[in-house]
Amino acid sequence: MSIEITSLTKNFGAFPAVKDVSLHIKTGEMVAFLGPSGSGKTTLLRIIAGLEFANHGEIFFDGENVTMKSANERKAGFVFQSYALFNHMTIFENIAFGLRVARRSKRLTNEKIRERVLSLLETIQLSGLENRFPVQLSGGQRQRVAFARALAVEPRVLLLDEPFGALDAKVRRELRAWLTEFHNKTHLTSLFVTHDQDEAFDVADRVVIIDKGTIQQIGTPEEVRSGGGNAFVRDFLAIDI
Amino acid sequence: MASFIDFRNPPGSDRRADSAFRATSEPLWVRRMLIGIVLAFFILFLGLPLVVVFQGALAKGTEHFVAAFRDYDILHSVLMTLTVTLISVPANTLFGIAAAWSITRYRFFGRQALLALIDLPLWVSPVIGGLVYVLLYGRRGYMGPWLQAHDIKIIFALPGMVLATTFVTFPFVARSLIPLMQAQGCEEEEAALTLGAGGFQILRRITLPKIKWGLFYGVILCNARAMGEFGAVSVVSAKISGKTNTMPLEIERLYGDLLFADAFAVASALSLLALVTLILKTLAEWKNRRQFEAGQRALLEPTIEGATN
Amino acid sequence: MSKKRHILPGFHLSLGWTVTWLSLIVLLPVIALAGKTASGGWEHFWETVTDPEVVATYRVTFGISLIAAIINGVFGFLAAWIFARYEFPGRRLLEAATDLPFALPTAVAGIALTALYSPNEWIGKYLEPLGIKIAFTPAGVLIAMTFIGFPFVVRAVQPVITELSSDVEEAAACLGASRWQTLRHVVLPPLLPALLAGIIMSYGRAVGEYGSIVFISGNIPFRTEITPLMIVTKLEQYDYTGAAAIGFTMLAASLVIVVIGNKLQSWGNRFRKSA
Repeated sequence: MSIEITSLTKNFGAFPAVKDVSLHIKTGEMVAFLGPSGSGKTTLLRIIAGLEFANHGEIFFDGENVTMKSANERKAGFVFQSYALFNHMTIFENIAFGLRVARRSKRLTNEKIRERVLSLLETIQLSGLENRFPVQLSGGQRQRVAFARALAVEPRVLLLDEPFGALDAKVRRELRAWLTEFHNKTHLTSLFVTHDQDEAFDVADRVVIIDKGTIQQIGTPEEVRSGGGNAFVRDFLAIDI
Repeated sequence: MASFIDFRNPPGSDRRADSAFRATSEPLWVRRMLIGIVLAFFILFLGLPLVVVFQGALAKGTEHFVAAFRDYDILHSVLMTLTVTLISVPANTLFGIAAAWSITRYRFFGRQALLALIDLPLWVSPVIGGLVYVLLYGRRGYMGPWLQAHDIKIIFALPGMVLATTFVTFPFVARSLIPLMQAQGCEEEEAALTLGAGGFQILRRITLPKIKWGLFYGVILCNARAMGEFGAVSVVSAKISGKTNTMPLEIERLYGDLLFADAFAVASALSLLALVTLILKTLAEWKNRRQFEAGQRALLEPTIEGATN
Repeated sequence: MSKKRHILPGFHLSLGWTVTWLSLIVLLPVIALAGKTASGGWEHFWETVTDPEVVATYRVTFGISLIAAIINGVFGFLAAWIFARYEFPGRRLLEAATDLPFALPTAVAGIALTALYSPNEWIGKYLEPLGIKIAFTPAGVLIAMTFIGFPFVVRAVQPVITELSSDVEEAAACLGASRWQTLRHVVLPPLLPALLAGIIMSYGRAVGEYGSIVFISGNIPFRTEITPLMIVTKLEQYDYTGAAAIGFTMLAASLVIVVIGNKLQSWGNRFRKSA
């Protein structure tokens, strides 16, 4: 799915979190929003998901204007930084949630739901843990459950908020490789927010550098790294020219 | 050297532990004295009144005690108390959930004013909780003439007692849910939203399971207060035994008629309710703290996680 | 084009229900109270609230409540301290019992306390030979007010004591402070706002209390009558504006008390966050 964003602005009170951002994301692309904390990158992601509403500007999914649609109508696959797993539900029920709350006419049978959840568990390499509760899993495992839960409803876009932020170095590397592989296989349009440039350059097809709510540079990892950006970008990436 | 150590810490004494504590705690005798004082206060002020109630209830023997609950007027007061409670507690529970949801999930103009008004019944005299309805619906109240013309009785009848009870128990559920839901945040609700869940699905599948112990806690307190309310109800009830007396009002009537054993029998039933309330409340607090902490942990976790991997 | 939308669904439904119910149960009745008070006119209002018998009830309600709140301050603080700091058998039981005055219906407390302190009864019979009378005297009112206000101080102070990290006390001790100096200069200052807030809340509860007092006080005019009883008396005489005037006065007084209590609490929270 392609995403078109036109002059998006979001203010929290007097504080402008996102200022006049326009962006086009092609179908099947993997794009990183890279920037320091407080730069507005997470807000931008949440606006795309429908978890915040912009003051100005519009958003199109595949040409369809979704600006005024609520999050449950947009159904973007959103993976929260803290995973936001449902602690009172088993892993199985967490992943099945989106399927169970679907409109009755579109709801799968219990058998189909079971099939889908078990196959997703296999994809994320957690088969056999379906009856555990989130607190019984490690951070990396929880992260993967959050992925699976978002994927279960077959979203047209995957939105990841600091997907590796909370994990230790080894698990980060493994998950990064897994995500790249997953994306190469499915070509699901994916956006992720990160403050770690290595991560952005390693995983993404294109990197969007954001600071103070505005886009500082857009380009492939090579373009961005080559030092063509403005003073902020050079300073942020610590590029010496 | 050994004698020196023995001198400081003779075997069989806990002085070693005591001296280690001395810098950050009180000497043992002070600690014991303080515990003693508090214990005495508890026995005198909280324990003895309970003992008096049960002793008074059984003063004329168990037969008399059982017979008291066969008395029509007393039974009727139990029925009245249950009726009033069964209306006002569910109403305030629904209100509490709606209020906590709107106050913790949205930012809107007048939110603080709303919070302050919800608290109001908590800090005014319960008598005022009865008074305000008399002024509205009483014979000389604002709506009095209209109500009389249409032959509707609110004051000195069941509706007034329900209203007064609802007033005094108004904040309990909302107040126990608001801090809990604030601490839990709404990320899980947001996650459910991105997965396509609607409002009631989120409430039923995500929010209610998350807050169930906080809700239980609030309902327990609300119920105890509703069944035991005296001041507010005494103002709006006609206080006719066998007709409009709730259990607390019946206690007053029996006590005034010098039927002490019967008064204490009814009181013992309400005391039992208080004890059960305390037990359930302690249980709910314990469970609730775990839900509360789980909520806070989920918020903090990403920053402290990782090492466990 | 400005778009203001709430993320989670149910805003109108939940807020609508909240505001409707709040208006019906609290707002409208309180407005009626203000309206009735005003309808009597200023002179009538002043005459009612300065009537000598009513003024005498202020002394009982606002004066004795203050003594009760201070007693609760002392014992509530001690109880909170030992609950938070000491480990001893029965601690959990005592902690749970702290809230008994919240849970016990006031009428039950009223007759139980009266039975305890009446002459010839449990405690009363030991006090009578000493010439001490409690039931049907201001001392009885004090006992009832102490009973119902007790949990507030414990509930306000205990969490703050628990949160105080003991490393500041250890630091003070390492700097050569005696235990008493540590308590006086390091431990008590951050607890003071919570303690005062607890005392104020306990005071507010005692001021409004009715059920447990009317039994033990004997309701003797000019001696043990409390202000809420005046409201009841006026209503029994169908003097609605008089009852409203006294009710409104009490509402205003309670408002002042609760505002002071909240201010103290947020002052105390400032301490807690920096801790």
